[in-house]
Amino acid sequence: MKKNIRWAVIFSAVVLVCLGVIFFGQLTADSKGAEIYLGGKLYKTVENIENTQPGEITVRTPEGFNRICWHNGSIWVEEADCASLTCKKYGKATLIGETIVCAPHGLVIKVVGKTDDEVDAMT
Amino acid sequence: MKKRLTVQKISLIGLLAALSLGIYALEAMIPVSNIAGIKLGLANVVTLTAMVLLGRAEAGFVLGIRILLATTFYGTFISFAFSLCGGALAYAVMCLTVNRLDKKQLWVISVLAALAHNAGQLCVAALVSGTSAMFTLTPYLVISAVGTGVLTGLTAQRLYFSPLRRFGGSHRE
Repeated sequence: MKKNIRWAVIFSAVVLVCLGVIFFGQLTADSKGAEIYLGGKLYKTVENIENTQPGEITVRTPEGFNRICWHNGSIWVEEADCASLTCKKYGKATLIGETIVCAPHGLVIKVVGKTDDEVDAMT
Repeated sequence: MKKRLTVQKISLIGLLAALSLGIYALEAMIPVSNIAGIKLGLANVVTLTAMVLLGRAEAGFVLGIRILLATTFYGTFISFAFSLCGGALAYAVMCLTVNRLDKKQLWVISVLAALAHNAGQLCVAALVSGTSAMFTLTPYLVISAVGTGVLTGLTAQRLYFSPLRRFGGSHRE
């Protein structure tokens, strides 16, 4: 019984740390963007996915395509022609650090946090 | 403990592999949008139970047969790589920990195996896509591994302390 409690404490601590990391990550960012990687390289950066205006991009590779949409702070794969469709089944990625992987096409979509000074530096 | 594979063991391995494949298929049918690719991994209940009831090698057979069959029925080469890497790492962790912890701590083994499984899949994802971008998923995956690991582990533990145990024969009493 004692051992059970000890392990429960360890695992709870680990979960709490992870929750802390996630929440801290959300709090430190002023806005959300997304990075799209293709074949290991940064393919496109979406500056802001929090627009009320929906946006989309179609990424084409020799293996197939993924239609990626973003709106109101989420980004998701609307359509793809791979066999497993894991990327589509993932649903909407909303939290910073969330990543959608389409392994057959070598595509990775990652939600990133943007801070204001970073935006200033770019504009 | 005899190392020989008896007919009883072979049939049990087959039965458990079929059971685990069935559970896997049923779980795949649940139409929940799987956030961050998280799923319960109920089929692991069978692997874990096989390990404590029959032994390491037998559990390895059950897991291997399940991964192979699941891939031929539902998967692609890439999903095979994902399953194999995650499964192999989880299996290794289970093998290492199964004798060091009490049977009352099966759920701990399950959580550790789930963590290893997710780590393996993350590494495959990084290798396949050639970026380390998805490592930001780590905290989400750790939380999910602990959650699902506790659930599947407690299920396996409940199974172990049930009349089902006598099917395991005289293994490691």
